[in-house]
Amino acid sequence: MGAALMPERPAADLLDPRFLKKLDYLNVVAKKLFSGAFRGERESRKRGAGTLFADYRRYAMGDDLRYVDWNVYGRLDALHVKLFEAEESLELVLLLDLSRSMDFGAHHKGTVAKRVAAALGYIGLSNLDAVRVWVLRGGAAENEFWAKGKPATTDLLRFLAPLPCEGTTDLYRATVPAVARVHKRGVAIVVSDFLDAAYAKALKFLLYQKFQVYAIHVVDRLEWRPEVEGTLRLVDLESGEHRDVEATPSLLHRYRQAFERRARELERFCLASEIGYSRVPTDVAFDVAVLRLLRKGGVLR
Amino acid sequence: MQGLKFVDPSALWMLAAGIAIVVLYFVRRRHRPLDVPSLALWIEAAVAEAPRLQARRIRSVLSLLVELAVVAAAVLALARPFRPIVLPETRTFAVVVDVSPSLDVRVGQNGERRLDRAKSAIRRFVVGLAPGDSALVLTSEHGGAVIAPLGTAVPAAIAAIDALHVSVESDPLAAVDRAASLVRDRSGEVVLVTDLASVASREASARSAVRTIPVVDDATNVGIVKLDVEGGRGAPRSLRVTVANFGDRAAARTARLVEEDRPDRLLGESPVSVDAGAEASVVLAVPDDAAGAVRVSLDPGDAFTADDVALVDVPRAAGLRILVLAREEASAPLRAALRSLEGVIDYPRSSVASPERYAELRRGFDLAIFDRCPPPVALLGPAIIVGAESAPAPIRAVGTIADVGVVESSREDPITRTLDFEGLRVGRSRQLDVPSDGSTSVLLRGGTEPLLVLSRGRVPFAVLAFSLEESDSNLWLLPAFPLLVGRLAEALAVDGLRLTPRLHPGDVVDLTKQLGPGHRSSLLADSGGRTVATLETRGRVPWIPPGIFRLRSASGEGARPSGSAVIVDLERREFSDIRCGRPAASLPTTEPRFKEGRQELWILFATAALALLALHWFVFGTGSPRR
Repeated sequence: MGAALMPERPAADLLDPRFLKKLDYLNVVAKKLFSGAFRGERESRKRGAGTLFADYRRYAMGDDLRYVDWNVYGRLDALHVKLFEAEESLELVLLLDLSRSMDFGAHHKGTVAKRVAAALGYIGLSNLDAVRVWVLRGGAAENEFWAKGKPATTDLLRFLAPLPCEGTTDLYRATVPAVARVHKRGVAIVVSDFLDAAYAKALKFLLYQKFQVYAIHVVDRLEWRPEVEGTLRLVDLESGEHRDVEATPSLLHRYRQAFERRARELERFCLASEIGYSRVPTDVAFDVAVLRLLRKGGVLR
Repeated sequence: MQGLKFVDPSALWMLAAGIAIVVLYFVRRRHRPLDVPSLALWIEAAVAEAPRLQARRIRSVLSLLVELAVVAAAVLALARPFRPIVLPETRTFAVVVDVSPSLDVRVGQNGERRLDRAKSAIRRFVVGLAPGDSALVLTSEHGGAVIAPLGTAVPAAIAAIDALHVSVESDPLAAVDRAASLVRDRSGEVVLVTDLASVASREASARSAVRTIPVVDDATNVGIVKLDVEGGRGAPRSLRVTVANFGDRAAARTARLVEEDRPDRLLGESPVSVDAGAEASVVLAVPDDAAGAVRVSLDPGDAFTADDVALVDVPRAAGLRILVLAREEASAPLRAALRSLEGVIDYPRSSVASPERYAELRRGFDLAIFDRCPPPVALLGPAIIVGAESAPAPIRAVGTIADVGVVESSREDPITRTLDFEGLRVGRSRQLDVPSDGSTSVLLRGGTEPLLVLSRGRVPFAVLAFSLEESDSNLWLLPAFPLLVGRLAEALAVDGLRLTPRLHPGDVVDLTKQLGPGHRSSLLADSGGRTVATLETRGRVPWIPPGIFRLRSASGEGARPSGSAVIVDLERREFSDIRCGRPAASLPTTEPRFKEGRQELWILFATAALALLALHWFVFGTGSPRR
């Protein structure tokens, strides 16, 4: 196996232009209504100058006469103005795990995670959502990226492309400060390998903070089904700790069982907590991963 | 593995392959570093797998051991191991009995004929055949008539011998030729029993490879009864030869002195006349350049030639040079013995670094003593080995030393000595097998029991009495030049002889046949808790006729023929330098002979290698179990 890492792609390689066109038709699913800070294309609890009719109310002094429904006046002999739903932007928070454990895989997990984040960010920007990206490392949220509007796509890609995988993983400790700086609630998408045992705490915290949460589980074939043999000194990428093992078929079988168990636990937790879950194997074609797996997981539509 | 030798020891270098296997094992065991995103899952799996991994580790070590065993067995097989063994050597005899009319002469007081004596001798010979030996008996009648065919059917042969009678058609010469042709393909020996009365019988007796057993008339016997070496160790040396006439008329002989190793070199001679029933002495000067064993012989004047030849050791004109090889300080008894040994002029201590070094050291010394250090393979002459750690292998027999003596059994060179039986005590005897190849060593412990040495064939042999204060000290003695060692043994045995003679009640030594008419011996009494053997004779026994001694128990079982014996005077703590050779008057020995052989073991090791390989394949599979 070895740390056969793929070279990190330059910014232009993160997302193919032809692939971007496919993403134009997608939208990040927000099952709840969130109030945004800006005008956008999302439904909002607010009434405002939207195009979708929402309700009536009695005319009050100062109301714009253009919104008076004269048909209602004719039937009721009272002035009522039409109210429209306000269309606001969605706060799309991408929490991207780029710890050292992501620096691994036959197809570099960190790169795949960045591409997923880029795709999601692009989708958000295309839909006039406020896209916020936090890089989670070593118990802190770093490199905040915030943008709105499709023209910021290039900035997003330039932001993501050079990010290295480093530091340890502590999803909870990294999530807390990130969320604290987000004033509006919206959709929070965690892209990680979820090898941190405290992932549940972090996801619950996001739920508690009224986010709609999605967990995108990036897995690599080499950590899922490792192809190793002989006597090995396994070195933890994050902590540097090591352990000597003999990679027998029996041990590998038990490892695969443990990995599957961990993945199923994550999936069951997400299901129970109404967290959208998608597993993204790194060796699956990226367009398949985004267009099929994320849609199947309910992240996109 | 003791005593294991190799035909091709250089192949043992291939054992280094075992080192390669071990190195490869540890290289395989080396842990290859591998980065993983998280150890947690691996640890979880490893903990569950721990018992299996432990078993696997044990399997791995076992696999390595089996692989090493396979390599070791294969390499040992390639080195062609063998174990030296001694194989019994069977012999074939063709006994030709001269039945000329001269054997019809009555020679005994009781009317015994020469033919009767011949029959008696042949019967003894047939009965005494060693296991595996076979004999065929012919008479000289009609140029060789077979009366007992080749085989080991003793009763049938004895019956045929009893039916022998003289014949005027006797032709001993043709009979000997026919006998030789009958046993030629078996490399057999021809034995002629004759009275040497006729020219034909003497010619037949003179044939090479024919051993003659003369039928003896006692009345004509003159023989050497005593040899005394005078002077020596720097002083002029001479040899006093005492000759006795056991016949009934005066006789004149010539005593000749030659070197044993160079019989063609006459050192001196002197005539001697002996009256009937008397003894006479003659002194022969020994030249300065002669040393070691010398042979004194009387010219043949009677048919009984057993006592016509005697061997004796003449000390060197110069001192005895002894090389002592010891790793540490020589043992105290050895130092004391060497101090008391007259004539020892040099005994530097050294150690055997290599056979070449030993050969270089050994040059110029008369004797080598290995004091608690192993000797090289080739001893290059007389040697005494002291200490159990020096023990050469294989050990053929273990006996308990009683006293000093030199034993030699030889058909060609019998030695007789005067022995006064008066007051002589014979202790319990223990048989000691000594093959004739001269390679056997005997463990002699500083002990308490006397030893009866039974030699076979011509085995120069010396027995040392050596009572050591250290209970764990052993003395090893290799067959060496007998008299030289015997002399040294005498010196070594001067002090500290501790003997507690014991004999099993009822043990009997029957010397009747050897003592001849008028002399009877019986043996042995029990003196309370301390069983002491005594030998009593009726009448004076002037000399011990060399012959077959038989030691047997009171029940008559376990009779063992022996070629010679050491009889020890325990009371006086004297060692009797007795060498009882088998006389020409007796038949050739039929004691079992042995020859060097080897037990090939490479098949054993090759089989073991294959078996281990199969075991490895069956248990661990063809692939490496360490993967």
